[in-house]
Amino acid sequence: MSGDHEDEELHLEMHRAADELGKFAARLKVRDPKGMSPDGAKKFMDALLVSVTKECFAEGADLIGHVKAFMHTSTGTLMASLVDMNVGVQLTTGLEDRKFNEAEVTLHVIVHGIWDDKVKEASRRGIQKAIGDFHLDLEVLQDYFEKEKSIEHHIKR
Amino acid sequence: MKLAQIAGFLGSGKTTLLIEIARELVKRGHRIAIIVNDVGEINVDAKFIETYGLKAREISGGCICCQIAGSFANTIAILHTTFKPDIVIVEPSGVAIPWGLKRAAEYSEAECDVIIVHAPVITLVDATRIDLLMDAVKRLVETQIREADVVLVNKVDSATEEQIEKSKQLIRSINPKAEIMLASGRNGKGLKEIADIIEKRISPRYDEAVEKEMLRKQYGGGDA
Repeated sequence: MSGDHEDEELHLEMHRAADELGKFAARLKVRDPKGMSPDGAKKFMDALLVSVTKECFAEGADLIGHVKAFMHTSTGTLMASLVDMNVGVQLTTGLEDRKFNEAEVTLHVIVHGIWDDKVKEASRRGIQKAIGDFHLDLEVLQDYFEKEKSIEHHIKR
Repeated sequence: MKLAQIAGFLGSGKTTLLIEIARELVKRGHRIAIIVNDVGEINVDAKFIETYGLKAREISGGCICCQIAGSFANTIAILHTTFKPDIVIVEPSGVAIPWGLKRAAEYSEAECDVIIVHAPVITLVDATRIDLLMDAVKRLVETQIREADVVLVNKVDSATEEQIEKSKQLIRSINPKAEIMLASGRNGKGLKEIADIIEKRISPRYDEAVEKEMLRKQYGGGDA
């Protein structure tokens, strides 16, 4: 085995170790014609992360890597993070105390035990459930999905 | 320009701690820039960090230590030219390996008039999830601990004594040379000490032989 080939194999193995995680991300526009209060926004972000995570576990995930979302509105921002279902969603708010009608939400879902395609399906179901429960309108701005992109550059075809 | 890496598995509290460390260093008069890396194309952390008034840049779409090493070096060069930070804090994705990241950072020296000095590599371990992580993502956690100069047992405010002790034993068994510290991004435990480490201490520059040896030990059967 040549040194270069051996190094390549080692590097590939290192990336495969990291790619035991299934990933999904999306950028969403969420609208509430009646107006959403800061408290309502917190409840929605909590429900969104829990809903997505439960769907991932139902698909076979056995560990949360990190499920997080960042909401940007005309009245400020709200960060939500879920690492452990027993601890629950951690919220960091920078929202002013007034209602808003539209928000952009960036969602990141990384779990262990299922691959990207399953994470995508589960996340979409979780998003739809939370949106439905809160009677919101949804527009998907960007929907990121790919498998083993991080090691693709090493795979010889 | 000094480069400080804060590594650790997902959910280990990197972003929370990084923000607090950056604020502490700003208070001490440093000009701080932050680079966050994610394997995905959509990044959450940079947006969040900027809400604290900190300078953040995101590098997305792959692993910072190899296929986007050029983007990383270029980002450092641009930051140096336009913002002139004296310390750049890097939050790599779980994919990057610290030695590979050192190498990628040093590429920036060819792009602008800058000399990169590395702060000790800091890895965070989530004490509250140590058992879960060692069951599910053992190799990844081991790699991050093995290449660290300092390992922070994080979230000690919500971990049990048993979890903290177990984390310390695990770290000692993987990397006996690493300095172990207890930390909490939430209550500020360890924060000033970590800022001191970044501010005052240095770690060796990239050495290809060292990186290869580490990778072989981890994935290639030790003395292959």
